Amino acid sequence: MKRIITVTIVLLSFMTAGCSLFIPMQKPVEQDSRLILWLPGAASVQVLSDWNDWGGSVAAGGIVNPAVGRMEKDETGLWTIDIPGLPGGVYRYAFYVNGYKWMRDPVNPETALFESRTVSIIMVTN
Amino acid sequence: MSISLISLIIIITGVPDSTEASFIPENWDFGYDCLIDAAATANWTGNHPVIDSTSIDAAVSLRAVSPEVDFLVTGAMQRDSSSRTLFRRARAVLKWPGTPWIGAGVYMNDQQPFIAGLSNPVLEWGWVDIDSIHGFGVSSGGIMGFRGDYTIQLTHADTLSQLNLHSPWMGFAGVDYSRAQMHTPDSLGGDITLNVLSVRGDFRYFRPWLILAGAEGEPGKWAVSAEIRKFHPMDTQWGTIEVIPGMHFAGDSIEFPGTAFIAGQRVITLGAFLESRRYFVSAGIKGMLDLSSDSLSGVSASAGMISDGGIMWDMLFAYYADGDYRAYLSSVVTVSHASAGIAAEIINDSTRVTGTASYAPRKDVCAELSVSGDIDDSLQPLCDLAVTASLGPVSCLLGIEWDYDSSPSLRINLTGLFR
Repeated sequence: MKRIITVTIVLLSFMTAGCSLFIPMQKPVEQDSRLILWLPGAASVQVLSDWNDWGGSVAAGGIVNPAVGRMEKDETGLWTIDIPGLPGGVYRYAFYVNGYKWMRDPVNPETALFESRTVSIIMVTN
Repeated sequence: MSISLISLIIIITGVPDSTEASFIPENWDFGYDCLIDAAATANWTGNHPVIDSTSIDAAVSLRAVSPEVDFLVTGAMQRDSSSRTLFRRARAVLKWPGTPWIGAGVYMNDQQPFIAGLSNPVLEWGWVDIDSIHGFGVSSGGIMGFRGDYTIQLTHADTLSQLNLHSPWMGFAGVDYSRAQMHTPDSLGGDITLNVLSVRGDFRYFRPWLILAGAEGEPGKWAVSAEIRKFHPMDTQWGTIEVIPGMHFAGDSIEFPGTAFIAGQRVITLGAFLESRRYFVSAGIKGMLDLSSDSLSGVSASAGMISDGGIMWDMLFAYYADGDYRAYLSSVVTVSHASAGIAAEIINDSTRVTGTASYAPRKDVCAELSVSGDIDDSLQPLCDLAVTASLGPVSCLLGIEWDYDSSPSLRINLTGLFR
């Protein structure tokens, strides 16, 4: 009897884990002018984009300014930044994680290239 | 220069306490930034490391802002094999009080040519050497929401003038016009002028975008890009499917620097993208038909999801008519402060697998190890360990990389921002 209960618990655990593998996580309240990234293990995340000179990497000096596009982290591991007031247009952006690693937005299917890197696209309508 | 800049910082930062009532005008705001980036690399030779390179970059910016005037000076000190000290950026702008749209300014490396296009910019960042840009500009606007700016920039022996006019959003449409003119010595090809008209409309159920570009002088220097955005055949509370048809045509002899146009391009695209409003999940598929040749024809797909179990999925796939293909699949599971992942990238006959593991013992410290290798003829392993830490305004990166055919290399990078 014990063995059956144990096997059942193990199977249920695997099934629960298996389901949660492919059930998408729920977003917080969506805002069009907000970028969100779930990355609880990161020490810092910035948004580098056409609208902020790619953090300074394309401007004089070529150094990514750690204050540019800095995202805020909440207790659940969500990094967020508001980007209000941009003129209408199509902009490329990427996440810059831990001060050295480029990463495209994993839940944005539209991509483009920036200096041979695959980055994401956001369209500001007005 | 470094002494003078530091002295200037001390003077400016000391001013508010000591002379607040004496000579600081009202409505003036003074500030400074000091960005320092120091890096060193070393190779492990024998049983000890040998320094390969060192560099120190420091950029000090001083700014003084009032309702009428805006000053910015950035000096950069570079300590590497060239040991250069130079002004990197400066601007002096006179503004019309009460509006940001009327003003005139002199710039040094402060205004870059850029016209936002559709998926690619017409003029790309960095297509001219930033250190060589000098010039001046005027801007105006505010009348019924129209605004414009005109800049003349010197880049080495060339002169680039750029006029940008922007209409307000008129409820159903917005129009931008740019004219970029490059004067080059006759021996280097002469002048070229590019006119770019960008129109974006809103017809409630879809939003068309159109870019017309034409270089003066030759009939073959033209380009047309158009896309229809925000057409949603499915739009529910769960999410949307957006279908984006587009076309990108260019004349046979367009050669203006940039990434948006390829000479002789005749491409039609059709994409469908699923995005959820409520969940971290998305997917997209895009087809491209090259009417002039098959080199750009193909289909690409992407999908991404963050699952409830803390797994980040990311998938890209592209297949071209000439037989080339690329696929990328990665998944990273995160539990509390630790994460582990595996990624596979296939480019034609080459397959490379990368395993990663990271741990963040504190919110500002993260260590990440990645190991990758080809699973074809030879393994060609590559290991990389990176530890990053932030302490107030200073962040540090310490990395060790070992490649299969070379000795381990070490790198350390310190970045600090003081303001």
